[in-house]
Amino acid sequence: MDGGAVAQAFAALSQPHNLLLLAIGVVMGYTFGALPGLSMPMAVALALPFTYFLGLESSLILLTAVYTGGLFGGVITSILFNIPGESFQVAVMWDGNPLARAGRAGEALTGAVVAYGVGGFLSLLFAVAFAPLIARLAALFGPFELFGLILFGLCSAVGFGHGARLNGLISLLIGLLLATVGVDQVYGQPRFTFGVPLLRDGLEFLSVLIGLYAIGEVLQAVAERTSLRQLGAAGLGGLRAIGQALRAWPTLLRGVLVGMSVGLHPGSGAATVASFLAYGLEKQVAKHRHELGKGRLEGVLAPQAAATATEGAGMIPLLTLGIPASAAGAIILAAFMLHGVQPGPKLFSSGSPLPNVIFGAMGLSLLLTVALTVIGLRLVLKLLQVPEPILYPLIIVFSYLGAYGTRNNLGDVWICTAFGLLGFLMARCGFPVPPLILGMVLGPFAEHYLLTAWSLAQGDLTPFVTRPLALALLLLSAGTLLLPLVGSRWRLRRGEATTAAPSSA
Amino acid sequence: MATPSLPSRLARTLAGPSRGPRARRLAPYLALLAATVFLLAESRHIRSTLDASDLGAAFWPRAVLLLLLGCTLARVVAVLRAPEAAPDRPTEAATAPDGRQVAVVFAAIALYVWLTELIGFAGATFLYLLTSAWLLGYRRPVPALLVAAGVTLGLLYFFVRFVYVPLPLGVDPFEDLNVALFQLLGLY
Repeated sequence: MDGGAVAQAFAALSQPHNLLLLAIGVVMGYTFGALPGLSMPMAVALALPFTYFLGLESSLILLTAVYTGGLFGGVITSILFNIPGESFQVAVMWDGNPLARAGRAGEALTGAVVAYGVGGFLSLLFAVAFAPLIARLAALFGPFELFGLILFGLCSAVGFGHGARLNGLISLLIGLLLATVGVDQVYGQPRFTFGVPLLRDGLEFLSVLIGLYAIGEVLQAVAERTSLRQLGAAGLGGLRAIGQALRAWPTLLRGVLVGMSVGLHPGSGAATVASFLAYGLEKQVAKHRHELGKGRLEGVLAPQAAATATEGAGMIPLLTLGIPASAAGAIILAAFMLHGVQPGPKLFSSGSPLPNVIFGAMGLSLLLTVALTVIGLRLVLKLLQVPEPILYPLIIVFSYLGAYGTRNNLGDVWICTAFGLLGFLMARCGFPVPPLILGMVLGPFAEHYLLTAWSLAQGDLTPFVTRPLALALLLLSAGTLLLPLVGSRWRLRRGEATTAAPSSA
Repeated sequence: MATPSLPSRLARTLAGPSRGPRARRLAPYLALLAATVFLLAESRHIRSTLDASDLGAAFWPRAVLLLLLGCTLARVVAVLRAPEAAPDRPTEAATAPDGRQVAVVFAAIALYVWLTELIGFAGATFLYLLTSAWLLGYRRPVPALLVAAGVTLGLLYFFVRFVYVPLPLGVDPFEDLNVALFQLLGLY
């Protein structure tokens, strides 16, 4: 590493006006990430015009801080209220909210903070140390391997149907189907739009998930007369909770590795895909995998670590190739362009301080975000003391704004409302909601990679078998889907044998 | 008691936890089956270009629909083969969901969205917050009024003034009224 470049970056970061910009950026990203309807990429986009008046270093510090703060903002509302601020916080919610409902909100929130810090710092270290090398390794993943990876993520979702796995598979297929609504990106063909103009752009993912979770949750709470107020007693869990989260280091590490792998791939949907894949991986390999979805700390740690790890990894293609891996990354690239700088390999070889300025800003922003969470959490928890007749309508209004804000279209609010009812009905009929969400998120990627693979191989599917990584991922997917069914059949046979034995004796 | 046969036990496993009579358990799957068949028919309108170099736009949704059809049929068969569940016990009846209250809350949400189109975000949100609190059993009018007004104003300021989200203004004459209100509040 060029010592001169590091010194220049340190000098830039220690300027008071840059530190102030960093603090403003973190608070802005945090707020936008936390409020449904306002998103982290929206915050980065809104901050961009201010960079016209700033130098490139200050611009990058501001935008990186907004990005980093936005990666954690919505975790508190996801865990406590089941309202995801961002789509990548949905997987955190699956175990975070049940933990909170069991009176363990402190553990869940501390776990999320630890995973955020660990994911962020490890990915940052990887990025600093191995940026050019990792960029070359990422090229090993072609469409065949990427399809295998996405298929593995999809198959892992089926395990959510605790009582009936087939219900999990049905939910997943419904999600895959919902993702096909709209004009197809490759062929320009309308699919299931029924002549409705709003549907031509597809179903807005955030509207659907806010409906399924926030509105569905309120209807469920009203139906079962449950209360959220007991959660108000929670705080951050202290040192014991930090220790508990750190003891689950294999989960954290797996999450970081998944986040890094996904974050390296431009256009892969980065944080959202990574969080779902990390959760899916835990569902397969974690020690207490059968309890995931019912309130396990591992279910919070893995997706949060993965989502945060995408940031550091995403900087690698951005800085080495000039290709952003996410929407926020694209806006940061725009800031480079605005100042007439083209990111690429030369950025590293020319001894420019800019990569180190970004990495340094990321590190400081991570620290500031953790501090902000520790300080601000008590204020948020006060909200839970609000009586339900006041709190529930507030949740609905925020959900409404969340759905409306994505496209400024009331049609999305109607869609959100309809999915609220669907979420409620799914819960009543025993269909798990998470596979539907996973299907909606990963479906377009699965289709895209399959189409690309088919087109590349001219209809020849043998590369799926001849390419070792692709074959391994396909076998893993098949095992994930079939082994539990074989296992249950085997258990049934064994049960029959043991019940038959006494009668024959 | 005779041990159920392996197929019927497997069917029970596939069918999942039994909830009430068979007809009630079958209903969602039959509805799903009907929707799947309808969408399969609808997918004929998607132009298919399936060949050696191109899967086309219709391939993926049709493949998903066929899988969905297969899974739903398997589920229907499993529910039919599983033994009829015993009628709800009194303890289950005691914890039955409050359907009337859910219907009222959902109707209020739908009415809120409809009112927003008509009278705009400000008026609809204020009315929704106030009436929903009352519907859910909150009987202290002054705090409810203060919360409704405060939250509505706060959201207006934040979304219109600071993040430039064009919140719905409703239709005439409410649109003009909202514009006048926004000017009065210094939002425009």
